[in-house]
Amino acid sequence: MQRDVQPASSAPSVPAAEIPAAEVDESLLDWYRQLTMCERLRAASKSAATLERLARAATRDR
Amino acid sequence: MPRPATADLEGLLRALTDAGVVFIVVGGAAAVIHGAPVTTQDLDIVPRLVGDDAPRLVATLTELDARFRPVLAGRDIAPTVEHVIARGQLNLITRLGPLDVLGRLHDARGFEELDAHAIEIVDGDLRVRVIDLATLIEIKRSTGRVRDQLVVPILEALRARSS
Repeated sequence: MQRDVQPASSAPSVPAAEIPAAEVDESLLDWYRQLTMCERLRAASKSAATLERLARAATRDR
Repeated sequence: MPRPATADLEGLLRALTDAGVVFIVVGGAAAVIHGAPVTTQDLDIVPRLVGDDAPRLVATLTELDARFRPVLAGRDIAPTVEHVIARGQLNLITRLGPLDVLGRLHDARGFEELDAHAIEIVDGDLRVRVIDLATLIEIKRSTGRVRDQLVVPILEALRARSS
């Protein structure tokens, strides 16, 4: 059902030390920026669907 | 009606814009549109809610076979105009995957406050209003969620490239 929006002040704080520094792949950024908006959306949707299927398969394999 | 666990982002955006729904894309899909090579399971939108906007949005959600998620046995609830105008967070699942309709962000900003920070991006016949990169970074920084913090360096790299 509908959820109330959680105020930012009540969100759990994240200690900076627990946030791993993201490794930004510069070449991947350059490649991705060449795509059109629709191409980016399709790529993201396909990747998410694949990751979700892999996660389900991993759960079944346990 | 099967409802996929991940969103067809382009399909959802086309369904909403074709129906005349006015909204701003936020969240992971906004990062994708700006060029971040990340994935997201759902589409997050902040809709405009004036005049006939709420009934139009609900009619579109009905066409998308939207239900509150998770859909559990005996708890298959469709969103209504009353749900939408309450301006809460509607976590929905549709025939094109998960769609979150946010009446307001976690910081209480709604469409009226965010629209000045939105830009229009056009690709062929698809015209989408999306939160600008600087505001998206600000939002991601302020949520306190680890998954949002992890995207910030990528968005910062994109901002550095575009400036």
